[in-house]
Amino acid sequence: MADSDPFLQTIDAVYAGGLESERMPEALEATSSLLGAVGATLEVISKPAKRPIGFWAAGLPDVSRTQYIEHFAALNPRIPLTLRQCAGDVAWDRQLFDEGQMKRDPFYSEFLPHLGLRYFVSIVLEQSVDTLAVVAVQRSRKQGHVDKREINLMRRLYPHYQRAYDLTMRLKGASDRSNLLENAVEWLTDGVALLRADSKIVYANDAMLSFAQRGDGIRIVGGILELAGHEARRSFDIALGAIARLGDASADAQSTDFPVMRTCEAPAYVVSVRPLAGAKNRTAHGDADVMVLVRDPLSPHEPRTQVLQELFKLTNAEAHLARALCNGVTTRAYAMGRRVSLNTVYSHLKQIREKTGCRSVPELIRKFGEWNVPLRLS
Amino acid sequence: MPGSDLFLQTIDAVYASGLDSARLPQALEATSLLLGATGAILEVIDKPAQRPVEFCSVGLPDIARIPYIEQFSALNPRIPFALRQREGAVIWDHQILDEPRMERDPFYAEFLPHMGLRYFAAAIFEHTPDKLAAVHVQRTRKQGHVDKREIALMRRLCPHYHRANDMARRLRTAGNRGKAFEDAIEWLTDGVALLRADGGIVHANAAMSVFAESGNGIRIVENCLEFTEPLARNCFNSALGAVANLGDPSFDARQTDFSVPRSHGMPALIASVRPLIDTEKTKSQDGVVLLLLRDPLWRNVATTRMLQEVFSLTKAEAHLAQALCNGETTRAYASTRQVTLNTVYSHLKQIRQKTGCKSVPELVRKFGEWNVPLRLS
Repeated sequence: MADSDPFLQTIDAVYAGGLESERMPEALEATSSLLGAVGATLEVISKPAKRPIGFWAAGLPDVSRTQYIEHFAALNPRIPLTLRQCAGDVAWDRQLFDEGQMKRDPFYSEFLPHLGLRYFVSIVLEQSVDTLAVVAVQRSRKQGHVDKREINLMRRLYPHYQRAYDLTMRLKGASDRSNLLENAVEWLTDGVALLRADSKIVYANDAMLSFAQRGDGIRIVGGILELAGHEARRSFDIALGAIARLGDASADAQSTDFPVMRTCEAPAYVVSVRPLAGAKNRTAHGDADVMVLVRDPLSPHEPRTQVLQELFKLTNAEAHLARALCNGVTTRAYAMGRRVSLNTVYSHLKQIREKTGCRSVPELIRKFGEWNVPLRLS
Repeated sequence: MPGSDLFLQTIDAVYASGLDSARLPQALEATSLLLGATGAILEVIDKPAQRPVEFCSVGLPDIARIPYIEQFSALNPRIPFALRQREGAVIWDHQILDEPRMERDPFYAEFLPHMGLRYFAAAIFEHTPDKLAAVHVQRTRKQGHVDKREIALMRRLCPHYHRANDMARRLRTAGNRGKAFEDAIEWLTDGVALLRADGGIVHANAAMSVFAESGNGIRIVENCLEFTEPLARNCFNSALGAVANLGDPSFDARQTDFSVPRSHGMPALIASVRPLIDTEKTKSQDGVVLLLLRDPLWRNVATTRMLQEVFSLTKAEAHLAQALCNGETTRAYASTRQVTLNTVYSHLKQIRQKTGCKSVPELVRKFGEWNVPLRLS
C-alpha cells in the first residue's frame, strides 16, 4: 500500500533506489517533483581520478557529456562550492551569485539556458579525501530560485539519501570485490568449484567446466559434480560428509585428496576437497560451504618451455630434448625418434646440464616441473 | 496530519535499523510508542526449521526468563493464524477470538496476564514458503484492543519494515560470495595477491603473507607489496605493461611470468601476473592485477599423504620417494637419515613395486604430476 504523502513516497523511492541502483532515477524523479523542479541527479565523483564513478539522473536532457566535461565542467561555479562543503550541507544559487552576476557567468548565461535550466539546490552526501557525492535538483527560470521550503525539504531528505547512498556503495563494494576474486580464480589452470552443503555447484571456473565437458572422470549433471570410479566417489562422499558433520575436513583428513582415474591413457586427476572457513558463520541458504579443486597433471599447465629456454639460454634443440626427457622419453628412444645419433643427444644433454646446473635427469625433471605456471595465458 | 512527526520518526528509525541492526531496538521502541503499546517484537521464523532466525524485543520481559514459555508458545493461537496470512497482512486479536473466548483460552487467560499483556497487532511484512517475518506490538488490558488508527498505522509501517529488513539482509549476505572466493584462495599453497599497479594490496592470501614475512625476494611495506631485487621489480613493471596486451596474439606473453631471485641459496620464486578485468565498468577498480607466486621448494604434506595412501606406501617409503623427488641422491639420503644404503635400496624396491615406476626419473615425473596444490589445514 503506497502512502499518499509525497514526502513519504519520496523516502520510499530513495530507499528502493538504495537497494537496487537501477531504481535510483525513480527516487530522483520523486525528489524533483517534490521540489517542483525539472530534474535531479546523484553524482559520485572520485577526487583523485577527477571523474564520476557513479551517476544517476532523472528528468534532465541527456547532456552531451563531452561538451559539458570539456568545457563547462571546468567553469561550473557550483563545483568549487560543493567541494568546500561538509556532508549534510545544502547549496543553492544565491550562495554563489545574485541575478546580476549570473548574467555575466558563462555557466549560467550560456550552458544552463541551453538545457532550459537556471537554478539548483544540492546536498552533499559524502565529502572525503577520495569521494564527493551530491544530490542536486535542477529548476528552470520559470520554476524560479528555491525557497525555504525546498531547502528545508532537502535537509529532511538528507538522512534518507545518505543511508540509501551508503547502502548502494556498500553493496557495490562487496560485489566489486567478489568480482575481482572470482576473476583471480578464473585464471587458475586447476579446476575450482564451490559447492553448497547439499553438494550443488554454486560456482565453477572455466577450467572445471572444460574438464567436465570432456566427461572423462569428471562430469557435471544437474548442477552436481560427479566423479568416475567407485573409489573416487567413496572418497568424495567421505570428504563431503566430514565437512558437513564437522565443518572441517582435516579432522578426518583421510580422503581430502585423492586421484580420479580416467579411462584414456591420461594420468589421473588429483581432486582436493576443503571446507570454506566462513561457511560455519553464514546463515543464509545458497552459499558455498565446500571447495573442490581438480588438477590435471597434463596440460594445460605444462611447463612453459619458452620461459625455461629463455631463462637457461637453451637452443631449440636443447629445449626440445629437455622437454622430451621430462616427459619420460629415454635418450635412446629420442635419438631414434628424431633420427639423430646418440652422440648428438649426449652433446645436447651435456649442454643442458651445464646451462641448467642439473646433474641428473631427475633433477632436470624437478627443475622443469617447478616451472609449472598454474595460470592460463589468456 | 496529527502524529505524522512521530510516524516519520518511526520510519526514520526503521530504516536506520536496516543499515545498522544494532539500532533495531530504537525502531521497535518508536513503533511501540506510535501505537500506544507496551512493547514490540520483530521476529523472523524459519518455517521448515520451525525456529526463529531473528528475534528482537523491547519493552517486554526477557523471554528466556518466562516460565513455561515453550508450553504456552505451543498454545499461542496467534501463530497458526499468522501462518495462514499473506505477506502484507495486518492481524489483531478480534480476528482470532472475541473477548469471552479469550477468557477461556489458556494463552490469553493465563500466560498473557502473567506478563501484564493482553492485546496485539502484527504486520506480516514477509511471508514465503521458507520464512515468516512479522513485527508486532503488545498492549495491556488497560491500553485496550487496537483500533482502526493502529491498524492503519501498522499497514503503513509494513512496507518500510519489509524494505529495512531487506536492506539488512542484503548487507549481511553481500560479502558472502566474495568471502567464499577468498576462503578458496586461502587454501592455495601458491601465494596469491590482488594488487593495484602501485603494488597496493587489495587482497593477499596466507601463503603470500608467509613469503612476504620472510622478506626474501618480496616484502610488504605499508600494505604495498615490494620486490626486494631490482631485477624482479623491473620484471614486475614490464609484466604490468604486458598484461594490458595479453590476448593480443602478436604480443609476446612471456613477460607475464618471471622469476624472483632469493638469497641464502633459496631457489627463485616463480611469479605470474595476470590482469583482472572487471565485468562491470567499475572504474574505481581498474588496474588491479593478479600476482601468483610459487615456491618450487614447497613440500606439501597433503601430497605426501595422498601418495602414501594411493600407493599404500609406508611412512619411510613415502619419505624416501619425496626426498628423491626433491633431488636428493640415495647416498645422501642414507647418510642424513643414518640408515644403511641397503635399507634405502630395499625401500626403493618397494616403491618401484608399489608405484610401478621402473626408474627414479619416472618416479619424479609421476609424483610431480600428483601434486596437491592446497594446504592441509
